[in-house]
Amino acid sequence: MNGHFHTADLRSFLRVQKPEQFGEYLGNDRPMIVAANRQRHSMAGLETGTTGIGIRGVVPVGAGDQFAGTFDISLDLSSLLGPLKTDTNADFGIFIDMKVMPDEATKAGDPSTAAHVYGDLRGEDATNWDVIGEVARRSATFVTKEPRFGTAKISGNHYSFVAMPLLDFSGRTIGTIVGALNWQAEHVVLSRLTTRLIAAALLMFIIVGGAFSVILHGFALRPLHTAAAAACRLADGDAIGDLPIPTRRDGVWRLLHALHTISLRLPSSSADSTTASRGVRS
Amino acid sequence: MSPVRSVVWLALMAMLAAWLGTLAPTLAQAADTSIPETVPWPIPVSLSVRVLDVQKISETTGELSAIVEYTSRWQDPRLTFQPVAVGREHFDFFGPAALQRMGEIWHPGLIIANLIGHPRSETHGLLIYAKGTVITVTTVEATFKVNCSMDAFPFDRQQLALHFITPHYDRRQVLLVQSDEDRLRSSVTARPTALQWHLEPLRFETSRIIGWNGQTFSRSTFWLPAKRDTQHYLLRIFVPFFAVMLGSFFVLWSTDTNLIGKGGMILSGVVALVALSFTFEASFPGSISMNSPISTLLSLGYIYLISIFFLNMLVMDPTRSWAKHNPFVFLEIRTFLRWSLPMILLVVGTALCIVAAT
Repeated sequence: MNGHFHTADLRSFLRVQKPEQFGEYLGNDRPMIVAANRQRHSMAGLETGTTGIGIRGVVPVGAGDQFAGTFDISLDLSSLLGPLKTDTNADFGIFIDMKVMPDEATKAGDPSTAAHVYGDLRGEDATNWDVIGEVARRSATFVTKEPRFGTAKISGNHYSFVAMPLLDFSGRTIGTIVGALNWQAEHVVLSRLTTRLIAAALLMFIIVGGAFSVILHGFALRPLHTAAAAACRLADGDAIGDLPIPTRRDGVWRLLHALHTISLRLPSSSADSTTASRGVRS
Repeated sequence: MSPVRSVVWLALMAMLAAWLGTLAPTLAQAADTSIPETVPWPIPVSLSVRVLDVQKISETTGELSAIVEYTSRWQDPRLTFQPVAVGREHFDFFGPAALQRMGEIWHPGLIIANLIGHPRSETHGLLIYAKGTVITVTTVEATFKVNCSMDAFPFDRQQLALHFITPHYDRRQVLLVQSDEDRLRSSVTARPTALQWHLEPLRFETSRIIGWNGQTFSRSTFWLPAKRDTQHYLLRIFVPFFAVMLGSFFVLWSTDTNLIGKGGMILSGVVALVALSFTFEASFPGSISMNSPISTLLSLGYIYLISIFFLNMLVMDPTRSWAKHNPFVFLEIRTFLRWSLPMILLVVGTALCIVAAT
């Protein structure tokens, strides 16, 4: 956390952490100080400065009605990521739109984050670059005005992620903050449930389909098949032999019984009639 | 005393004073084992873990024998020193010297909560950097209590946990953290002694727990996913099972009406399954007693064989009076049972394996 006093003419007066550096003009790079200075009103929020992005608060300083300058206190945004991860078990990353960064800040960026550039966005910090970087690669154009949600499979694990716009104190979009949560355990539960449902559907198909098939074939198709075969054999003048006839006296019974009776009356089958009559089960 | 001797004497005294001056802060800090007050609380203690070896995973008792090296890092401004004056960037201590020095400075008192008894061996290293960064490196060879599940045997991936806590300091004072750097430092051996396991990269999780005094403590959990080498088990488990099940096809498809012969085949299949379950439990402890998919599969096998026995006796016997009265329905039911029963066993068994392997 840093404290910084500025004069009424927007010049650095005292940096608490770095007292030897003072006197430079801040009007070009510190819009929050300019706003607090001009409006004589406290300001708070995110701001990009020459040293990068930070959470800052600026208050006017004076004696009575006499305005002396402003004082700001700033906190490195990256320092919040560790505790945030500790509390949520999610990974976070901060990306800044390089178009809104002062040139000095772009040049002075941490060399380790120089590799994490995705389009206009530059990665400032992340709790796990493997995950956050992969999310960024897959959504390279996620400079967005509204939250975006998605899922990604990274290193064999399923992640859900959200990309939220990062707004500065004036409401301008200056980048994106990404959060990614590993939901591999939930994904496994979901996959297992899907497998069980598919298996249950297959079993239902086998049982219901089988029952339907038994009813349809057992009571209608198979008897008709048998009757048709017997009729063909009669038409050819052959004996129909042992006809299986169900005991229930329904249409099938009448049809098969009629065929059997016809076969008995046909002269050509008279030789077999004795055998056939023994074969009828009624 | 000659002027020359006086000058030499004075120079020596000045050097001694300068040396004592550099030593003074160190001596002053020597006995200060209290938590640093000048660092904002909670003090972040970053933690990385290297699993050097996994010697044994006992699923039935829930024990992991392993060699683990954990590195903790924190900042203590009271231990800063001038590297130019001292002539070195950091002090290194190892073994008893590290333990002795750690007794003189503050440390978070990190322990592995699920370590059983005392470590079989333990070594300590300590580094103190000029800017006050303190690093401890501890290597323990020990047995840890872990949760093992046989719910997915032999397709299982055990999630073995190492829980780190600081029982002397609650979450207001000490916060265990893992940075990206710690994640990169953490590693797992590629060739563990326990050959039938493939170790996967560590996963970190931080949580809060209610401690012994009712306060909230920071807990850091390192999950070590260990995937069982399934190939070692497939042939030894599934081939005997399907061999036993083969007899059922003969019973289902045979047109022989000799029920005694078919019943004998089914009963011998049931006895073979009993023998298999004893063999599996002896070869793969926990595979039957801990309710694994294999034990479920064997139970399904019993149900399948007994179902065939009764269906063959009651439904598939053409000499039954109902079969004579409904000859077409009997034929359809028999045809349906011949293919549907093995198919149901196949679907349920496959689903069981897929669920376990997921």
